Amino acid sequence: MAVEPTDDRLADNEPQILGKNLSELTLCYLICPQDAAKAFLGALMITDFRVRPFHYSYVSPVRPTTFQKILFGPTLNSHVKIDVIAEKLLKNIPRVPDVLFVDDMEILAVKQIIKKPTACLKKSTSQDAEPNRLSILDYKADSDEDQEIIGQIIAHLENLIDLVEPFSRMRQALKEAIKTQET
Amino acid sequence: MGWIKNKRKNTIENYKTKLIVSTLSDISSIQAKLFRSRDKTFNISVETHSQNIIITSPSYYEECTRIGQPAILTEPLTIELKPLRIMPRFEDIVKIHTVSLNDFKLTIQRFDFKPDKQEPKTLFPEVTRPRGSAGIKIKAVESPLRPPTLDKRSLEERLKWILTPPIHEVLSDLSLPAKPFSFQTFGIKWLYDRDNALLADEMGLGKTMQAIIAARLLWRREIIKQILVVCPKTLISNWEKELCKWWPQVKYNISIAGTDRQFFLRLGMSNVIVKIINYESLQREGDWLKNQKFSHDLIIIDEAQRIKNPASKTSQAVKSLRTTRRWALTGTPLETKIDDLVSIFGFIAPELINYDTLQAVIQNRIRPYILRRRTDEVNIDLPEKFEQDIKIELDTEHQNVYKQMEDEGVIELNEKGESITVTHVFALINKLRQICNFCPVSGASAKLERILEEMEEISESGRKALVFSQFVSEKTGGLERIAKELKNKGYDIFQLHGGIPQNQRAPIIERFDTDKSISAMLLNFKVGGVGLNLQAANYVYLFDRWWNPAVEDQAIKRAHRIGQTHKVFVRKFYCKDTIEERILKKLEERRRLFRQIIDENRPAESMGLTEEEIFSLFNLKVRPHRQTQQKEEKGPVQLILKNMSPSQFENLVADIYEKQGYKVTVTAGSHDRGIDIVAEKSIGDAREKVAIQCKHQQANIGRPLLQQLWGVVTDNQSITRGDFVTSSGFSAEAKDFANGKRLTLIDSKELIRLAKEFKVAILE
Repeated sequence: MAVEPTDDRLADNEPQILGKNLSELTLCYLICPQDAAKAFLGALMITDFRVRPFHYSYVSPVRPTTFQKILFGPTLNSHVKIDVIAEKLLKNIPRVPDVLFVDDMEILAVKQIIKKPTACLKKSTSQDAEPNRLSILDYKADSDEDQEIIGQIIAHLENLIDLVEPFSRMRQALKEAIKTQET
Repeated sequence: MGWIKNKRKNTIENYKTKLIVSTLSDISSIQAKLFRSRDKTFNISVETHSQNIIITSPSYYEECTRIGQPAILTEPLTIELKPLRIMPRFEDIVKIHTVSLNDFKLTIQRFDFKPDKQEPKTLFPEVTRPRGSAGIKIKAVESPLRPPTLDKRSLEERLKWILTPPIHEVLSDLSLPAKPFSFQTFGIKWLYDRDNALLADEMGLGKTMQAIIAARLLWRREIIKQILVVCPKTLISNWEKELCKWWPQVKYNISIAGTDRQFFLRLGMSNVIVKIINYESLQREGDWLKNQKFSHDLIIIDEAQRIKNPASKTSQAVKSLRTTRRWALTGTPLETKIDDLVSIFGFIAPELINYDTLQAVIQNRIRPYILRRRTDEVNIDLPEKFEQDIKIELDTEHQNVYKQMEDEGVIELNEKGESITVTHVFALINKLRQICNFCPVSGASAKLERILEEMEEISESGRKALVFSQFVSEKTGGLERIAKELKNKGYDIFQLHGGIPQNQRAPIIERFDTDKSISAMLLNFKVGGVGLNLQAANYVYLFDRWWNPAVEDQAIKRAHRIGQTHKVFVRKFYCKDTIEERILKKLEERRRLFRQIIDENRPAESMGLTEEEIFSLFNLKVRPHRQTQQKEEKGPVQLILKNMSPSQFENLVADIYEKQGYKVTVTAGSHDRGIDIVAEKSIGDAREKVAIQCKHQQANIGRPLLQQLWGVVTDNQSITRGDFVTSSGFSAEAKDFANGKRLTLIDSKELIRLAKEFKVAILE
């Protein structure tokens, strides 16, 4: 059976990024929020370039003991989010993504684990908006090199899809999963 | 945690003791110091990188709190003091339980999703997706409420549902020929999410298109493999056309039911993605379907009001189909009564409601499964529609002929006395309505003149008109007569009614759409009133009126729907001082009720014209004879009646009808849906045909049996009335159901009375 092309929203001369066609890129989203009881949660989603999910994983809520809270002090958050949750989630991914998006600057350091361009992605607030600004997104990578690569990806994709929206889907799914676990 | 490991330095005061610190095991890997406070209890001081904290039993905790020393309250430490002769090593006197600080307990759950299935690509260029067509940016819409059945699904399925990108993103992937309106995008997602759904958008809002795209998305996600569409015969070509438009890739994967219907229904080949069958064909396989086990992934029934009668064969055949997903489409789900809705839900969600469910409960239960939007609620730029009730004045001669016919008719009716029936009144109404269309003496038609006045302008400006009438034949002043007159004036026109063979209808619709020389299409309400897209026309004439305003609205929506680019002018004719004017008043009242029931969810009221209303159209003094309620007597005749065999009982009933002048046919053996006897006789120009069901039993007759009989009456246009005859009585619910319908209830008392009146002996 003949099939239709993957997507024809892209022009014939499809841009190349990271040595691949843009439509071949695999994106990864990572969130590590905390619930009302301050337990640490975490979820990861791997998608195609149109943010269609291939893989979703999440961890059960992590509740540090009193001693862990005391002894890790202010380093507790980043330790649990990066060294515990993100590391565990990234160990279990079915394919290596080309780029990783997070929604929290605190976990940008996850780049050290995945070793792929990583950026914290947010919608620009109206206060930040500049009249001549092309992108409606704010992104911050941990290196200039990553900043440039992510900038290119965003420039090509943001007119086709909402790159920030998957975070809300992931949060909703996480809430559903935890709720199910608790009942 | 390097800093802990590197700086580990456990110290202890000079107590030569063995210490068991089981409750504080996890402090062993940190910098800790054991000391004894003044009250001789043992405490541990731990040093974190930021502060020093005392872990203590209650007595020292209070002191710590008082002096502001950070402290953690713990159980009293269990300490065993033993004098030792030899100074032991630290490791020997302190039992250390090592637990890593990195022991964060967590489990991971993972889910992998398959990418969307790719659609078959057509080989022919005219339907190949134009490059870039899928790039249409579709506006984001609010997400529909969570489907009610989702909570019963597995976590994986629920997560899939949540993680699916928003519908506007998903639709942007498809090659759509036009951008859906926001309400349609919402409707697509709403349908996509639901296994059981009634999409009840007003006519013209694109229900077919929404269903096709939602099914297409389900197919792409491999949730379904095959779809069965059930629709009226007249809409098959429309479904094909819409499928080719909104899902062009399946153009060569559509199969339409032919003569081998059973083979067609069982057909499950992967290259057949959409199967289409009409209600009539399906109905013929009703009995066979009841014993079949095969199932479909998705069944879409279009114009779902076709199954509003639970007792009809069509309804039963549709409900015999097995499927995991059931969608019904209709513009008028409550066309007459809430009972219709209950029947339609008998297909959509069979367990959800039944006839015994309270009305308020029904409305609550079905709410999550119904989506209805009205044209004036949704934000679409349909051209304006101007509807006018046009009062036509008959010329003097025509008026006189009409008056004479009506007067004579009323006299005849009054002469019938108590033997008068609704059928007699209907016969007169139809006769008068035909006279309103064309004068039987002069052939004049003020209505046609009005159309001709406008037709020239319509034709010359390249516009087209639709003319609807209830009557078809030339003799009755119907469509064929109008067609003849229009052709005589030089207009090229088409007709679409029951007399036009099925295979000619699609080409007619196609040509009407494209051929500029065609000025008008003449249609009857039944064939042309539903599902067709006739936006090429923007003038709509209702030459005569239909009893049900919903049917008229359906007809008007053929032109006033998405795709219409011109203002739509609707002329609804009625003749002044005639039966048409009186009916119009009744129609207005019904329309008010219709809005109350459907659009404001008020309690349903009867929408059918009652017998009383029909009689009041002519101010008739007479009324049919009605047996008054009497207390049941158990006299000898009653006993004889009750002791009869069923066949004796049927014969008695047949005799009574024969004595009343009916030609009686006993259906014994064939027994069409419970009908035991068919009785026919002529009354003037009209022919009365009564379907009679006999029930010889002790218990009262309930509502379901009457519904079955009513199904027979409404399914068969030639049947004027249904009579239910029983040797017992009727339940209050049954009487309530029959009220206002063309149903006559004959209980044992009435039967004995009739037997006496017509001198039929009730013998043992």
